[in-house]
Amino acid sequence: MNQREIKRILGYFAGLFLFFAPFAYYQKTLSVWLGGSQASDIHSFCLRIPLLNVLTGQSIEIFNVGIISLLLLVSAAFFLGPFFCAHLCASGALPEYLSRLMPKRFKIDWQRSVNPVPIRYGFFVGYLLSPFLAGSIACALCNYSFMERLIVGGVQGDIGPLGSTAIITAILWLGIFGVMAKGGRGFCSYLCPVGALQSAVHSVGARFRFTYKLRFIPSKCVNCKQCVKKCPMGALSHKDGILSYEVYNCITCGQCAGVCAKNALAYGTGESGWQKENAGEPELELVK
Amino acid sequence: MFIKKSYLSSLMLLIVGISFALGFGYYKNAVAKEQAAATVAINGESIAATQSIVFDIADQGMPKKWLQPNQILIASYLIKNESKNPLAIQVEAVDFVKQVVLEVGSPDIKKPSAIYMGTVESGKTLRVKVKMDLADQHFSQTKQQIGVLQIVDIQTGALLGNTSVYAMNSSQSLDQDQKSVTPSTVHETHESHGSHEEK
Repeated sequence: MNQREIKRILGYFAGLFLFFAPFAYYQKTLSVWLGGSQASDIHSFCLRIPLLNVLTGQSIEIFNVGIISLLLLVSAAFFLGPFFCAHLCASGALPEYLSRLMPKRFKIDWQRSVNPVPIRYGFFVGYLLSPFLAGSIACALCNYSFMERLIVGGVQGDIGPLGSTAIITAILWLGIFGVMAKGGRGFCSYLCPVGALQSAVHSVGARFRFTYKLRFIPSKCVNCKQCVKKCPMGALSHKDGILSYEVYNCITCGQCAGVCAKNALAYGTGESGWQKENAGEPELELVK
Repeated sequence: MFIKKSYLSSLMLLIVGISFALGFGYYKNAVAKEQAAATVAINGESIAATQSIVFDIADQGMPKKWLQPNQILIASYLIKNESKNPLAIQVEAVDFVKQVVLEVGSPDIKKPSAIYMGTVESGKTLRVKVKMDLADQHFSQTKQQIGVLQIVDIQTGALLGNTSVYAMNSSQSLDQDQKSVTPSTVHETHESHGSHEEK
């Protein structure tokens, strides 16, 4: 285990203590700073709820934990990429690390089989539409909420009653898209609106030189494909000797850069180095 | 005729994503009765009239039926203080034959118990989550009481609210119910003793 990996794990542990009850030190600190006694669990932080509240007109209160967190998240995504996903989100990390325990032959490469980007953003649109058309799924299909249940259950010794939607979430998040998936981040790729929002913001931020992004130096690339194998999100692919990058599905975790022996990939400021057709643009294929 | 194949497949997948989110919203509504909600308005003087809560096992979705049918939740037991003064109250789960916990606010390191004590300011509402286990007899068709939630004024000892919680299984036939009554009744007595020891 290299230093980069140790830092990642420590970051996820920090995220666990910062955002999830019974600890939730981030929410507790922010609540004290705001002078109120807001709830200190993942729901008060959850970036999905303020998104819906703003959209449905339920809340225009700016100074609450949810809205402040959303603004911080969007700002961080613009300047640094999906920082929260890459370094702090314990609920994204758990299935990723669990999937490493599963032999490769039992795992499905979801991202290679089904392009995650349209589903990811389709789900994001559906998520925002759901309160108007069907019923909000903010807490029904929530891996954050289930992660908190696991932590609280571990501390208190009882996970408590689970609804059918929570059970389905666990099956998708930890099972089908978790341990059974290459990279273990199928849920992040397809069904996380927070990740989708961050990647969308990052795709805009990455166009500017002063922001942090995944940079590529094609002349250094020796086509070893180690980065493609390492990417848990399936954001990198290799076809006809060309390395392609899908910014809309990247969490900038930097594992690809860590495994690149030739330093062709790096996380930093400056030009991205990706060809336009490889930088998140869908491939055009003409068929008679 | 030229078709941009990747755009077409992307559009299809986009629709799949939207449909999945909306479909899950409808599914969530379909299984909403797995969890109950109730409101009690207390005035500090007389006992509040409250509707009882009835869980029907038949309302559980398939995943819950398969994996965890015996644990149920009152997601939102709201106690509204309609008096002009703050009320120090005790909420207690009584006569439950299996484990029950009352949770208020964010989860803490310490596991909550079957009793909660706190103060509700005038005009404010206290939200209590009630997590409970069902015994075997609660899976019969007949409506059976699981227990009672009582709200007591700590200072005067007066009962301010009283909500009975029931379980039934409308999907079970009467024949099956008849057959299962005898053993489950025996089990009920056994469980009752156990529950008093727990408290």
